[in-house]
Amino acid sequence: MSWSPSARDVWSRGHVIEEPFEESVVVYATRSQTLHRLAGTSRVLWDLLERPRAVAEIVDEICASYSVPSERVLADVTKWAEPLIAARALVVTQGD
Amino acid sequence: MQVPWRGGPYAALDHHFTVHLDAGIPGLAEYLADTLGELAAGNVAGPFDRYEVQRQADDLLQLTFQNSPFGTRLTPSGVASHLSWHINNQAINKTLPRATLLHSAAVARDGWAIALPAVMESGKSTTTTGLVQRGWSYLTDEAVELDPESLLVKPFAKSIALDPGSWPLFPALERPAPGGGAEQWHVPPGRIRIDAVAPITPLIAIISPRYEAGAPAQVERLEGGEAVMHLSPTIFSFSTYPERSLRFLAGLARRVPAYRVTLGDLDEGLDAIEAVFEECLAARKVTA
Repeated sequence: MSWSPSARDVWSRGHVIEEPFEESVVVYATRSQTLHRLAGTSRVLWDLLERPRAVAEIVDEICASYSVPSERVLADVTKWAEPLIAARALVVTQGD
Repeated sequence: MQVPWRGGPYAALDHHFTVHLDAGIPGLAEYLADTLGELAAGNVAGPFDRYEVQRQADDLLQLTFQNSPFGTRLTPSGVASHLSWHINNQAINKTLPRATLLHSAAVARDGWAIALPAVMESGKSTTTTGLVQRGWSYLTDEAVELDPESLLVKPFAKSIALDPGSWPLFPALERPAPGGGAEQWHVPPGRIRIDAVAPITPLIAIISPRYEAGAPAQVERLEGGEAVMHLSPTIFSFSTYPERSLRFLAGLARRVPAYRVTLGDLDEGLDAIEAVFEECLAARKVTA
């Protein structure tokens, strides 16, 4: 089932324990008791969420760094976030 | 006239115990004394938990732990397997509140230990037996207690439990229980080589073995995060102690190189493990 975030949704890290490495970060989501290894772009996105951010802000930031259309970036970050939201490693709140 | 037998005290990590046998079970006292011998607890203080092997009316045997039965109508072979299983469980459960444990074998050579963590049925005991036959010293085939600061591996030198699938590889180690038959061969490390048990030894590498019939030997170095992901299923009770377990694994992954080794043929696999060890040893010497 696909999920479409509102650009105004705010993503923040849930209850997690993290261990960063040079090439990746390992995230343990305490609510779902699941481990996730995030490397490459996944790690970049995770690092962006050091503080809560609106989805639109994340998309803008990625678009500014990579020459990719915003629709494509939105689709990619949505796909990235889905399993982390399901695992409650990421929490979605409604923005203003 | 046969007399009752008392074995121990023994120490399996934090599980301290004695074993008591009724009289008149031919050969079983000698068999258990040999099986448990390396766990002899010279200077461990009590109290000691008590196992008893009792004859039942129909000539079969019953095992009790602290006076509660946990195996009835057992043959001597069944006693050996049940006892071994129970001792391992108690050792792990009693140690876990104090220390993180890896489901792992460990062996040592040249003053350095390698841990061989893997989930069940991955070939830990087979790999360990093969390495001890090649001259490595034995630390454990079941659970590694490792100090996260000093990286010292503490021996838990239980008998090596070989499943029937491994028996054709080690015919000289055949060890039927008294009365014949065996569900597993419980091989005391001293049967492979005299003085086969290593003292507390520092860890130099983590090499996770996986048996895959017919596969060529293959070695893969794991990046820190990959190592944590790969090793997390081998931490006993990870979900009970998630933060401690994750910090432990991450610390380990930062300080010790981790590898995944696929073994199809035992000798080829052991060659691959020894090559990794030599590489780690050489890297240590360069660093030193």
